[in-house]
Amino acid sequence: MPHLWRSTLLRGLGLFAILFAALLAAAAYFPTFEENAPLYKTLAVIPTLKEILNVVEEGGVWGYMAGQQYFKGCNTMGVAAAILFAVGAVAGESERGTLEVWLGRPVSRDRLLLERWLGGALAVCVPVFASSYAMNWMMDFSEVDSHFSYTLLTLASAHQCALLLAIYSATFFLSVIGDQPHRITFGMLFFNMGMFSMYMIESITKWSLFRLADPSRYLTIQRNMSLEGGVVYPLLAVTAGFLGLSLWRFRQRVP
Amino acid sequence: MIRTTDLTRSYGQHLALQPLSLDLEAGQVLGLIGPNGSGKTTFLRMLVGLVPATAGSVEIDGVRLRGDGKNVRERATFCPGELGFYPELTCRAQLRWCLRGRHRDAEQTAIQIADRLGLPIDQRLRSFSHGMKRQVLFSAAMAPDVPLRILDEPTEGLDPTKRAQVLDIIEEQVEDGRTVLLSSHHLGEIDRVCERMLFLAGGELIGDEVASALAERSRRLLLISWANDRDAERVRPAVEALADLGVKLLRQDGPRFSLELPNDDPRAFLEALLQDHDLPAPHVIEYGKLSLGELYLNLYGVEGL
Repeated sequence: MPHLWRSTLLRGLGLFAILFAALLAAAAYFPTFEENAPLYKTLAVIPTLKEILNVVEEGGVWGYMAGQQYFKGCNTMGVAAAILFAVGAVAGESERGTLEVWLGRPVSRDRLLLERWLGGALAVCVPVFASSYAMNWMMDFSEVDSHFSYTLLTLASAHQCALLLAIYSATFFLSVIGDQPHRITFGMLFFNMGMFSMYMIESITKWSLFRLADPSRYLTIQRNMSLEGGVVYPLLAVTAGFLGLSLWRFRQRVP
Repeated sequence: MIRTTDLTRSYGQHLALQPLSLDLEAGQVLGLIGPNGSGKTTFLRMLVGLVPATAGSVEIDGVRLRGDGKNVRERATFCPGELGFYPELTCRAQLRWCLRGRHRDAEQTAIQIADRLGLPIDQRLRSFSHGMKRQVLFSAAMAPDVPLRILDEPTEGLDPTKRAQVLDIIEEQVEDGRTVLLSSHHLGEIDRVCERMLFLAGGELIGDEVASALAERSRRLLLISWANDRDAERVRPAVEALADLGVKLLRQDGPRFSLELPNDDPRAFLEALLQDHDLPAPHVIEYGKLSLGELYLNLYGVEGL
C-alpha cells in the first residue's frame, strides 16, 4: 500500500479508536447522568456550562450524545487531529528534508498537494462519521432505549466535519507556506484553546468558533432534519478558500 | 540534451544565477564545478522545475519546461544534494516512494543498483549511515529509463571504494547512451568521468571546457615563484614584455606568477626570461599536468574548491 494511504488509514483508525472509546464510555454513563442531571446543573457555576446542561437536558438522549460526540469529542480530539494531520503535509517534508525528492518526481504539484489534502481530510472526517454511526449500537450496549436515524447522524457528522475541515485547511495552508511544523502546531492549538476558553466566558462566547458546533446546533439539526446552511456553507467556503490558496502557494514553493 | 536560454534566478535583490545560456550534448558526463554558494544547486533545481526561473527557459531532450516542470521530470531524474528520508521506511519502500510516477521496472532496477552497492534492502532507514542514505537516493536516480540524470553531489560522504563504485555506475550509464550532469566538490572524480566541465562562481558561468582541451591548457600552464615579493616585482616587467612570445600572465599571488604559455614546452620562455642576468633567478618552477583545483584557481582566480 502506498505510504500516503497507509499513513491515512493509520491516522484515521487512531482517531476513530479515540472517538469511539470516548463515546462508548459516555453512552455507558448516560443512565447515571440522566439520574443526576438536576444535581449537575446546581453544581455548574459557569453560565455557559449551565446553558450547555440545559440544552442537553432539553435534547434528551440525542442532546447528551451529540454533546459528547461533537461538542466534547470532536471539538477537542477532532480539532487536535485536524491540526496534527495537516501540519506535516508540506512543512513536515521540508523539516525532514524530503521535500526535494517529493517534488522531484514526475508528478504534478497540484496532484501531490490534493492527494495530501484529501488523505488528511479523510483521516479527519471518516472517523467522525464512523463513530457517529456506532451510536445506535452503543445505545443497545448501554441498554438505553433510544435510537437515532442515520439521516440525523449523517447531517450532524457533516456539520461537525465542516468545522473540522475549515480548521484542517487553515492549518494545511500554514504548512504549505511554512517550514516548522512544531511552531504551526503550537500556534494552532493555542488558537483553538483560546477559542474554547472564549466559549466559556459569557460576555464573549458568541465570538468563539466553537459556537458553530455546540450542542444547541445539533438540536436545531434534529428539529429541522437539515443542515444549517448559514453555518455549514461559509465553513465550506473557508475550506475551499484555504485549499485554493494552498494550491496557489504550493506552485511557487521552492525546496 | 540540455539547452538553457538566458536562464536567470534571483531572490529579491540577490542574483543567484546570472543569465545562463548553454547547449549541452547528449551521451556524455558533464561536470558542474564551483565553490559553495556558486549557484550549482539552484541551477540543477531549475533544470527540473524545482526552482522556477525568474527569466529564461529550459529545454530537456527537446522538451521545453512548462508549468511545474512535470514534462521535464518525465525525461530526467534528479538526485538531490540534501538528504531526507522517512526513517520508518525500509530501503525498498523508500525506493518505491522515490520512484512514484516512474515505470514499474524502475523499482526493480533501483533494487539491483542498491544491491550492487551493498545496501540492505529490507532494513529500515533509521539504521542507515549518512553514506548509505546517499546511495539510496543515488540508486533511485539511476533506475528510471530516462535520457538524463542530474546528480547533485552524489558521492558526498562516501568512502573511496563506494565513490569508485558510484563513478563506475555513472560511466556505465553513459555507455548506454544516457547523459549525466554531475555536480561535485571532488575534483578528482570530475576529472575522472567528465567529458565537459562547467565552472560556476557567484552565480555566473565562468568556464565551459571540454576535458581534453582543459587537459591541454593544463599542460600549458606554468607556475613560477621568486624568493620574495620584491624579486617578483623586479621580474614582472620582463615577464610582461614576453607577451610577444604568446605568454600570458594570468595572475600574481605575491612572489608567484601563473602564466599560460603558447605550448607545453616552457624552455623557450625560460631561456628568454633568464637572458637578463641582472634579474633574480626563479625559486620554484611548476609545470606539466596540474590538478583541476590548481587549474581553476590559476585560470579563473576562484578559490574555495
